[in-house]
Amino acid sequence: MKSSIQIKLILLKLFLFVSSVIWLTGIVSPCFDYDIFKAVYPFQKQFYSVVCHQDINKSFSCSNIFFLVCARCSGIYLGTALTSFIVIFINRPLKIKTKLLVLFTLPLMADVLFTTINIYNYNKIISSITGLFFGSIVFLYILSAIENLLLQKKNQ
Amino acid sequence: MNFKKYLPAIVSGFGAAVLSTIPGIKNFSCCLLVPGAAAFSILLDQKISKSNERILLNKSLGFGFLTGLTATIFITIFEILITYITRSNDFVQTLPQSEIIMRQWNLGPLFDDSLEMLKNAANDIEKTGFSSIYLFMILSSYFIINTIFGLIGGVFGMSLANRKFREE
Repeated sequence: MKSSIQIKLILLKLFLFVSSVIWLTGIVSPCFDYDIFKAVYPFQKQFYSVVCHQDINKSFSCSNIFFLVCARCSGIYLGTALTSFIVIFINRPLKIKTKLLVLFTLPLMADVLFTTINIYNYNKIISSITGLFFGSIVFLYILSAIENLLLQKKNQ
Repeated sequence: MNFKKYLPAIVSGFGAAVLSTIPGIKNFSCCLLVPGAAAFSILLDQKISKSNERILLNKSLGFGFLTGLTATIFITIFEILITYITRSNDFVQTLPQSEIIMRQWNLGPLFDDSLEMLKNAANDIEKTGFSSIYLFMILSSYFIINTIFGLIGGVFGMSLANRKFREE
């Protein structure tokens, strides 16, 4: 029988998964051919402008309509959503050290730096992949912090 | 409410709001400044209380939320004030360009109504310096996003503060 802490963890993981999917659905809404998404597109654009510069030259598009955030942000949120789905099936407690967080953040930092100083041109694929790594590790790091705290509370 | 208890979160949120008015830094407001401020508030509280105890999740989430909320309130106040004085802002300046691009996508009649509403808001800002639709839009979007990122920053700060316990 599962303990209350384990049930709390499962519910937390499900909540995080549903939340990240809702967030991601908003970003990729141009891919859905529903009038409601088209009607609210200007408001959505304004809403997501808080989290991203929304440069269309740096954004993916679907049916010639650009996503509401840039390729890097799309990667970050996709990474979060994918990881939040995978962790539902992992029953072991996660142990993510700060070093690993730094290691997975470095590609994104390097990409930002290299494109800023023009070592190479902005590439949507590279940006989204480095963003995907970053989004995944940040999600895992935060989840592991919560898990550790709940499990230590249980052991005390 | 014990005001002093939450002072680090309020100060950090205010700091994030002030920094977010600076052009250039403004773009990092939600995703770096607010989570950073929330994490900072946790560490600041630990310094002030000279505590070596483990930071609990409830506290970190509370601090994160409060930092996000404070940042939302002050960012909105600053933005409304600056808009009122200048009678212009990023929204007003970029709307015509956005309209041209979005019109090419043929998004349908409902989209036209939405766009009309935004154009009315932009017109109100240019005429009077204030639009209630714009106020509602920025307040709701900043509230949702800053509190979410504040919560993330709070947990992040907790993780950093509790690192020594975890790695022991």
